[in-house]
Amino acid sequence: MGQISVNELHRETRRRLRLTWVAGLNGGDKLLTSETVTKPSLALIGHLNFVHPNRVQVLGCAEMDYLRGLDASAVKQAINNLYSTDLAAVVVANGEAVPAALTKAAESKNTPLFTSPMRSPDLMDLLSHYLVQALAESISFHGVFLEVQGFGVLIKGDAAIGKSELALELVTRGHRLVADDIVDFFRISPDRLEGRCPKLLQDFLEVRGLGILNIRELFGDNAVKPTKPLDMIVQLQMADSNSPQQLDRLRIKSQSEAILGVKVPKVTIPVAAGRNIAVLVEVAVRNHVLLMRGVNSSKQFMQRQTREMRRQGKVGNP
Amino acid sequence: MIKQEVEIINKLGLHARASTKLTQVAAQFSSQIWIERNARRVNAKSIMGVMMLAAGKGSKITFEVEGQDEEPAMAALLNLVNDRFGEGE
Repeated sequence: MGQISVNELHRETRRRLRLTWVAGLNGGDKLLTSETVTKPSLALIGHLNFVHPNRVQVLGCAEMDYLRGLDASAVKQAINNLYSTDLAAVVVANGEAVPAALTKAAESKNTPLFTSPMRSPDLMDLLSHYLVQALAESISFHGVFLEVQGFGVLIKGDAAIGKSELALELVTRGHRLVADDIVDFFRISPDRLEGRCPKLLQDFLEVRGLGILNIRELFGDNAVKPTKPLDMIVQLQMADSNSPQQLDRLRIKSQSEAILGVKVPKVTIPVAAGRNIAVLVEVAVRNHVLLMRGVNSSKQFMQRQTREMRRQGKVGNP
Repeated sequence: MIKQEVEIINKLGLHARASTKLTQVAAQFSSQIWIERNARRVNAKSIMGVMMLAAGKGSKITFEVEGQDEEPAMAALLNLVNDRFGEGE
């Protein structure tokens, strides 16, 4: 479950949103969690709406006009209503002057109050985009994440099976490294996962015998990428551990793996001496593209064979 | 070396799934296994070869097994064909 404090939100967005923290300076530890995103009645940000309160409240022209139109006691009542819900922060947009009652309430409830000269629709656009990214559900995987021919490929397999060596070979063939060893996947939309490299590991790849390699310094800026959506999984398996009779040679059934509820296509490649795994991964990606276009080589071959059998059956079996 | 002819009796013949099963059974044995039909001889451990035979229902194929475990291999292969590749029809 992703979560972020108002402090972090402020730190990450204050420049872009030109935020000024005017009151409730002690409330920075209030948390925004993705749990609240899923509550239908509690959208994360929005205009002032007493029916559907939001965790981050944006006050635009209309709301400020409304508040200005009220007499002092009604303003107080409205603001109390606002703060009676589970608020994380309030942002006053359009650079409007902040009513004293609002500042007072923010201080007494320890809820951060920001102002910004930006227009409220723009502000909400940027805020919601940022929050979706920051609060996306996430999961960590052990493996190497690369961009191969423009597709995000996660290479999984037991320790010492040669994942990092494979990554190195793919990088030398012009593909790009996203993360080695640990990859964080974030569900940024209902059916899209984005893989990100933990900051500490960025650019580095560990290969047995060579130690830690700085891929960016060795191969240039083009050899690495900080984030990439996940398109497919390549599972490496020792050839002898999966006995030949277990392997579906025709790949009649396509494999997939569910990560955070998103179905990701998967290819299992047996590792054995004399097999060039990098080429196999490249071709697996090509074949994946072909499958997405509706071209299934296995099916084509099976259909051709069925036709041939039927033809022979009509001629009469010798 | 032992040789034995057998008739394909399942409805769909040596189609994709049946061929896969046959190669999987053949791969369990160390013996050399060949299948012959219409003067074409293919390795029973190769899926493309087995499917190329295009042996439909009622056609006759000949197994040719040579090696240390040829007896159990032949028995397993005949059993598979006569069991309709486990497909029930």
